[in-house]
This record gives sequence, structure tokens and C-alpha cells, in this order.
Amino acid sequence: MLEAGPDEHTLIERVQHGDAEAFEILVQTYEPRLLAFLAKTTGSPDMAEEVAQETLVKLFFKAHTFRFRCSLFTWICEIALHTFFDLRKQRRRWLKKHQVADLGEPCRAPDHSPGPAEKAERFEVDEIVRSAIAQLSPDHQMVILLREIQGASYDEIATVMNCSVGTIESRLFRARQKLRTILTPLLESHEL
Amino acid sequence: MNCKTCQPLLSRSLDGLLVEAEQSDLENHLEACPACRKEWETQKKIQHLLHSLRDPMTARSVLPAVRLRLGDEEARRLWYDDLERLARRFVPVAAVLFLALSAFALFSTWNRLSRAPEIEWLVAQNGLEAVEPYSDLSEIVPEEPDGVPDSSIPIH
Ligand SMILES: [Zn+2]
Repeated sequence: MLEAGPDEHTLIERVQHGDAEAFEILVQTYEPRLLAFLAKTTGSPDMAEEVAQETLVKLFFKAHTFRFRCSLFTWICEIALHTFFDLRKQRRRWLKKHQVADLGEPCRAPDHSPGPAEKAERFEVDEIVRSAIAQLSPDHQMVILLREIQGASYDEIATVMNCSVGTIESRLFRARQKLRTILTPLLESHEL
Repeated sequence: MNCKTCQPLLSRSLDGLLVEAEQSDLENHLEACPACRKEWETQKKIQHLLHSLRDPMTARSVLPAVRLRLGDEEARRLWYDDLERLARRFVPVAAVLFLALSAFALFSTWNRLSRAPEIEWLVAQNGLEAVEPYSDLSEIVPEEPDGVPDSSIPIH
């Protein structure tokens, strides 16, 4: 299951001993992938940056707990998702308290897809898909996002979530059934 | 294979985890069962939607912010370390002082409540009844006659 090459292995070990220089190299290696994963997951560059920042700070202080039983990136994604769920919960609580509707966040820069109409529709579909995922339980969100966005294997997801492969299989099955129930109207209305 | 056993296989098939025999069983069932075939098509569409979620690609590097945060965290940790070292040095001293004070308080309370051994010896020697401390002093001190001042006290 170990995917880290010898160099990366050494690098992680150095970070585990508090080596700030090794940590910088690790961040430079993983930051673009982490930001892309978070931008897809959150749909917001601002949220992606906030979560990434929090995740990388946690990574530095939690590095000594990494046991090389899954790829480092899957482990980073798991920390990032927990961080995202917490931040989103805090934000929703704040919005509820101040009675502000959560309108989401617009993309900072336009995407490079063909036409404005198609772009708007894809944006809308993406938002519906993200909000469908957000309606799942945190465990189901975790398995769906790690599997479908990160591409982690069942073994890796089981390792980071500290449960059996059978549990992951059953969570994925249930999460997919729930997503199907939530997304059926979208699939019918958009003829996707 | 029936519809109930087909469902979990659909999920594993989406991840390409079925062995050849399972895959062929599933395909046979899907060919014969329109309901499961519809479910399979829907699940494939949802997987496609998830895989094609767009990455806005406008997120900026957070490394400078992380560096700052780590510096702050490091400073805070050093401050906590100092506090911990200070506590580690002073806690034993405080504990010893506390124990000494408690022992002293206990000893003085016990001393006040119990009779001194010399008094016990005197009582035993003279065959006296044990008397409570501060009992009627008239038994020991002779009474003065009314109105006559004590001439034994010199007046200066
Ligand atoms: Zn069927």
C-alpha cells in the first residue's frame, strides 16, 4: 500500500522530526494537487485556500502520527475534508445566527469552457452535485469524495477512516444510492 | 442473481472491482432486468458528474500564510514550553511547602486537644481525678473573703 518513493519517505521522516525545510518541499509538491482537490470539492477558491492553509498547518504538527500505511496525499485529503466539514459547519452556524442566506461563492475568474450559456449550465450542475454531496452524512461524504475526486482505493480509504474494507464498500453503496435519490430530478430535468 | 443481490455489485462494478465471473453475472442480469439497467445507467451518469466537477483553478498558493501561521504556532508552543518548565520546577517546591504546613497544622491541633504526658504523670502520682481543662477553678484557687482586698499583692 506504500506509494511513497524513498525520497518522499525520507522527506516525511524529516518532517516528522520537525524539519521546516523538508516541510516546505513537501508543501510545494502537494499544494497544487491539494488546492485542485479542494476547489473541486468546495467549488470556491477562497474556501479551498482557507481549508488548504488550515490543513497544511495541521499536517506539520500531525506528521509524526503518519504511519506510511496509505499514500501521504490520501491522508492529507482526509485531514482536509475534516477541516472543510468543520469550517462549513461553523460558517452555516454563523449565517444562521445572522440570518443571512448562503448564496455560495462565485468563481474568482471565468472558466475556459466554450460559451457563456453552456458555462452557466455547467456551473449550475456542479453546484447541484456539490449540494447533493453536502446532504450526505460526513462519513458518506468522506467516502464519495475520497473515492470519486481523489481516486483513493478502498484499502486506503479504510486506512484513513480506521475501518474495514467491507465497511467502506457498504458506505459507498449507500452513499451512491442516496446521491441517486437526490440527483434524479436533476438528471431528468437537464436530460443528462 | 436477483435485483437485491445485483445492487451492491453495481457499486463495486462502478469501481471496476468485480472479478470476471461476477461481471458476467451482472451483465446477464442487466440485460434481462430493465429496472436494474436503469439504475446502472443512472449511477454511471452520477459518477460522470462527480468526475467532471470543475476545478476553478484560481486558488492561490497558501505557502506564505502557512509559513506565518507556523511561526506564530511555534512561538506559542515555545511560550507554553517555558510555562511548563516553570511549572515543573515550582510544583515540587509548592508541594513540599504544602505538606510541611499541613503537618504543622495537624501537629498543633493534636497538641491542643491531648494532655501533655507530664500532666498525665502528675495526675497519676497524686491519685487525682482526671479533670477537664478549664473546669471549675474554685476547686484549686481558694476563695477570697468578701470585701477584703488581697494584701499579698503589693501596691506600687
Ligand atoms: Zn434487477
